[in-house]
Amino acid sequence: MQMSLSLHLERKSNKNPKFEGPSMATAVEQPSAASPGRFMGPTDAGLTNPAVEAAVHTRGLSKLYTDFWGRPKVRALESLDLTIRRGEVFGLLGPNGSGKSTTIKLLLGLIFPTAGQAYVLGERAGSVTINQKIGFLPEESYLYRFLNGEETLHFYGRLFKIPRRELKKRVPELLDTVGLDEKARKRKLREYSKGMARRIGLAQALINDPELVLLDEPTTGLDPIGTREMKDLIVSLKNQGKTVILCSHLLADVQDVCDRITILFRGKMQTLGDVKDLCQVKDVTQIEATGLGPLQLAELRAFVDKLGAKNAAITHPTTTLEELFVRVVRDNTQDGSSYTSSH
Amino acid sequence: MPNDSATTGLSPQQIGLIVAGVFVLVSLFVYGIGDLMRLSIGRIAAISSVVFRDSIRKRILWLAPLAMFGVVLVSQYQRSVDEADSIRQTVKFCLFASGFLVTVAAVLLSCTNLSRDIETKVIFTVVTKPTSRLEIALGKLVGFARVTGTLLIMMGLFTLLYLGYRTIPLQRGIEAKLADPTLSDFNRQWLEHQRKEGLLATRVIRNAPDFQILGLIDPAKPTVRYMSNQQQLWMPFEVTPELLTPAGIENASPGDAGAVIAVRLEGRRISETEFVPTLPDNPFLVDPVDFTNRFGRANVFVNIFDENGSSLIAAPQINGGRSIFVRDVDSLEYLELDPAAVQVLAQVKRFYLVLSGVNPNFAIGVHPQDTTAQTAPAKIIIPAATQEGVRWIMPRTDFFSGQPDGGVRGGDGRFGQQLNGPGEQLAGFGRYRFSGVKPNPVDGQVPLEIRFAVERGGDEDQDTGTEALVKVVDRSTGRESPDQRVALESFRTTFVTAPAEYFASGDFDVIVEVISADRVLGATSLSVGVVESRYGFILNLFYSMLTQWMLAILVSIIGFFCSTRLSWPIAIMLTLALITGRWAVNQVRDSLQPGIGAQVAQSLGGDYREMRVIANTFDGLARLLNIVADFLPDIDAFSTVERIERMVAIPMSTLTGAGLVLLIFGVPLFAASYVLLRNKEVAP
Repeated sequence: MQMSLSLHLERKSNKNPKFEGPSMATAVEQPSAASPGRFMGPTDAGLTNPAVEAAVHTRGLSKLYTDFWGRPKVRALESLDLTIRRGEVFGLLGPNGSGKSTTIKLLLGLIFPTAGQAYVLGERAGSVTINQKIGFLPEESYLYRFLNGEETLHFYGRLFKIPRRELKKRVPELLDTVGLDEKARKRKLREYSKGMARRIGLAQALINDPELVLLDEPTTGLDPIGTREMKDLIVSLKNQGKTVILCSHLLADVQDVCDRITILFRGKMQTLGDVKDLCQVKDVTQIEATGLGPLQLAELRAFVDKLGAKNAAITHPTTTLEELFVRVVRDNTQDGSSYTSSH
Repeated sequence: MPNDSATTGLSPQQIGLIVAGVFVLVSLFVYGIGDLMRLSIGRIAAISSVVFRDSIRKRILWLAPLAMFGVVLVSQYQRSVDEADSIRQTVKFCLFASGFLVTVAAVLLSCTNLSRDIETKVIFTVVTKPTSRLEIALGKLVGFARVTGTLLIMMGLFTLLYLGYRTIPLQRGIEAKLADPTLSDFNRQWLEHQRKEGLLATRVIRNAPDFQILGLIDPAKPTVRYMSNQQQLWMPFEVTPELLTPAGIENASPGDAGAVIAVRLEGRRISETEFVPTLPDNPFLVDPVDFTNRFGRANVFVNIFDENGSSLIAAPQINGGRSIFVRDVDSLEYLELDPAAVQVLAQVKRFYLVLSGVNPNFAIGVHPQDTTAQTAPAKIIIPAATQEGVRWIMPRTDFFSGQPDGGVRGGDGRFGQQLNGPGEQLAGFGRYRFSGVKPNPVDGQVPLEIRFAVERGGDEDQDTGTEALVKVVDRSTGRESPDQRVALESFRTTFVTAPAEYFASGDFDVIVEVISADRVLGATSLSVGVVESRYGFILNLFYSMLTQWMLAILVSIIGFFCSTRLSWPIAIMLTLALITGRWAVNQVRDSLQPGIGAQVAQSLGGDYREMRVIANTFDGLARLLNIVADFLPDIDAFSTVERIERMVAIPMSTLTGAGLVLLIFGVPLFAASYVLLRNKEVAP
């Protein structure tokens, strides 16, 4: 029987190891505490001209909601500098009210920024022409409930000026892809279950074969198999070279499919980087070994002390994205207030 | 209306139109040029299809059968005086139902559609597609137009079929009535006409723009307008405070020197038998019954009325309350006008000098073609310090050109001006002056349609009906057609024909003289019509539906405009206010005329300056309300019911008028909707 050992060695005595993050020299960007979300210059995300080259590029993007009289009410997003490369799966994380949806709405032109700029696929966010290349799945399927599945896709297809002949071919394919059978696609949307509504919502987001797909809570309402299929689809989209922006609370799902993530909290970007790097615990060393018998286990401590283990692998252990998320939020909630409190 | 923008030469309406035009150009062709260039019919059609399907889902189209059922139900309980009235009422019910239906549908759809899309966040999945706000606005409006158009097609077809169905028994009824030998002459000619023409026969009717009720018509003096003691002569004046201020007097105010009214009239004795040739035994005694006739001379009372026909100046302030005596054709009489009266005139700017005949034995003639200061029928003289400074204010020039505003009018009756038959008073003549009308004759005859209200006598007296003589005078030749004796019934059309030769020049008068004693007709300019040509009822119905559709589109634009920024309940309220605002102001229009300030000031009293402040304040408020109303759409322009129910052709001018209102109000509002929508954050 092959045995496996995993041993954690802590450099510092800390039961709750503090996240330090990788160095700025790596692919991970870390916004400074003094000026969160500060624009990082032409080298941002390794791109020389991110406004044109990046899938999404924001610079000082802010949104302040005001009341009827124009008085400030809620600062939903504050000076967000973010660059999402083309072809990557990017996760937008944060607790409720952190500014995720505001960011998505700003990128889609559903609301207008108070300050800053946002570029999507090289054009100003909200531009009608750029919508030709975008697919958007909202957090709930906001569709005309008096249409059936096929009619819905035909309607959105016509908005993209897809020829009827092509639509006749593409609509059944898409409905197959999202798993809506013949019977379901003839039913009115008001008769759909939540899972079916998510599937048709996804289908409308993909009707134009988009370059950039924004998915807001895509797995909500889906059963485990549906969730798995959704994740497979996201990976498949990535493999096709498409950019996917994923906004989800299901961190395990995000961890499974995302290349990079950012965590927003109270309208500010708290962290940004590769999922693998972010989940590394830098102040803990992990030694993994194979081929050790039961007798050798007793001598493990001494063995390690003497650095005599065969095939020893010394790495940093990884935490889960969930642990990272909780830690970031907790660290930023210094006044003990609720993490969802308004600000 | 006084010109308030004398300095710019443009009225507020014209300025508004220019501003609206510039706004449309800038918003659509500058600000929205990008969206305009990439406008896609396909996307507009897709969005409109969804609106249409939504209306089907909401069962809005089911309202049409409901309205049809209502029409059928109400028709069962209608009380009609004759077959044509029965059809008229049915047409009215149908058109009212369809108009009401589409207007309500347009308000509900346009005010709730966008709001609901935003509430349900469906708009998220529409605006994140390559759909511009212009396409969304157009798509929605086309959708509303499709729904209301479908409703109107359904109602139009129903109207046509239902009228056809109702006509069958009514035609049978006409046949049965005609078989009755005791039928009155009026009813026989009426029924025969209906049998011949059919109950749905529609025709193009021309009415006279110049309608006056004269006391006497003298072919030898065709240019003189005569009135008897049953009529009044109205002469319009326009003045300014400066005109009424005596020249050459320092710090003078209007009316400081009073004014003199000079009238040049012709008194013409028309009744020798009733003429009193000698003075009474005691010239200082007054006949208590006919005190004005003690000298047996033509005398005239002078009044000054405002634009609403209300008395503006108290009688004692004009010639001390005395009438003036008119002698002959050269009679030039002068009346004194008190300074206080002139001050009131300075407030109103526009008024009527009204002469009323008093002595029934005389006709009073006026020569409106005399436009020189020396020979004008009336003028107001403002005294001055020097001979050169004396001003003569003449009546408004259109009085001389025969426009209906001014001239000889009958007394005010319940249903129009009173046209009286012979009796104790002199009978009047209704003169309908047509110009440039060339009707198509049928068998050498031109049909005329005459429809008066009989205000006194007539139908109440079963023994004797009301009769009148009708003749046509060709003004180019002076030839008169033979008098035709026609029977009249209140609010029922009498069909008459006259030889086509009298209409050949296109300029002719139709003269109506009541010959039944003690009958009084209520006459309007629409009481006499010349049938210019025949017309198809289906085409008329189509035009009516088209006009209703234009109104529905305008309502949709207003509703959509309101819903871009407001929640749907408030949008509905505001839409209704915008649609009916002008109509509502029109209902109280009489209280908002420029003269209202002077009336209020006069009733409150005070010196000239106080009165002027009061008058200006009230006039300013009234003007403001009028201007606001002028900037709202005139829904009366979309009204066709009155014509179609009378089986009168809806003229192309009605369609173009409705189209113009749609254009003037709809396009700027649509452009504003687009600008608002483009700048709207659709995410709640």
